Amino acid sequence: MGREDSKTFNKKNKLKRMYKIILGCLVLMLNISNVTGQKYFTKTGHISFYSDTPIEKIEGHNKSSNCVLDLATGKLEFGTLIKGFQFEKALMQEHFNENYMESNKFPKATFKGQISDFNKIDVSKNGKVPVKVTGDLTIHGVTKKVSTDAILTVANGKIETNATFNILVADYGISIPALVKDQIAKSVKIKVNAILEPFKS
Amino acid sequence: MKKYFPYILIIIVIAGVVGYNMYNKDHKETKDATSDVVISPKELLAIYEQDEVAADAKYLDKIIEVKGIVKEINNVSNGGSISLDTGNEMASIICEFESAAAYANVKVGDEVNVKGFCTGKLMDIVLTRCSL
Repeated sequence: MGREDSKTFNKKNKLKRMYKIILGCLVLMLNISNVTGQKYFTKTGHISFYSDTPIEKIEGHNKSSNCVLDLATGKLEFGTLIKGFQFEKALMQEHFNENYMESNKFPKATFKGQISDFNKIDVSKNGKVPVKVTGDLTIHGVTKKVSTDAILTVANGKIETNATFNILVADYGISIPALVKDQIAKSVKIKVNAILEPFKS
Repeated sequence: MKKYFPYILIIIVIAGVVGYNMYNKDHKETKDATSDVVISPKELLAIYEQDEVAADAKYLDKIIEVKGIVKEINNVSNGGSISLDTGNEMASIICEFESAAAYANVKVGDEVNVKGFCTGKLMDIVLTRCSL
């Protein structure tokens, strides 16, 4: 090889190296944004429950529930304060807290679980993604495994989570006095609606 | 027996009226109530962060009065909440209102005096049935 050839050879190598460095940086930046931009979160999640019997319809609503969704791992977590559930009838809210949930002893209910197919969620595409959610639900100090279908709706960078499932009141150590046994359903419906926004870190 | 019948009837009617009134009793409201505790958002958070169980025992179901700067306002279908700054980025005092009209004139940055029932702490401390 002559001197000119080695000069161009060196230039080509330097150029190749530069491209490799730029490419490396881009890949690194993309990976970093993947890691930090994947958590979705709300403090105004709406959790409600419904007890339906021929004698009485009871419903309670909590509008300040927390929800975190990590799209990188599929982890989904909820937290709610029992005393934050509002009922139409004050007496029912009192009974709910004092007699059934014993909220002074157990002020929170939590859910720690996993959504299936979290890889399929594309936050840049508006649309509905049906998923399955499985995890540990802790109510009244008792933890039980639950599994339910849920729908994640992507809309303009936000993720709305909707799920409806039933729980057996007795499963969580909640005892209903014989006197009101017919007024409270054995199986209670729980509805979850939370609009999650990207966690600004 | 017939002699006592009117008395028994009166007792039944009274019991019925009392029961009916209890069933339909009004929610305790914070609007015209005296607050149980007056505290700053920063101090309330500090007490909760130090010992949550002890703070719950002290504050749950009590009417807490806090004066603070509005950090965030969240409107939902009926009611909504405003968050008060505690100086901590990660935790604020969330004040839940039963109607959005109650805080209609509030803007972010305003200093407000809020009264609400303490329901505990998730990431933030949540006060419910608030009034200004």
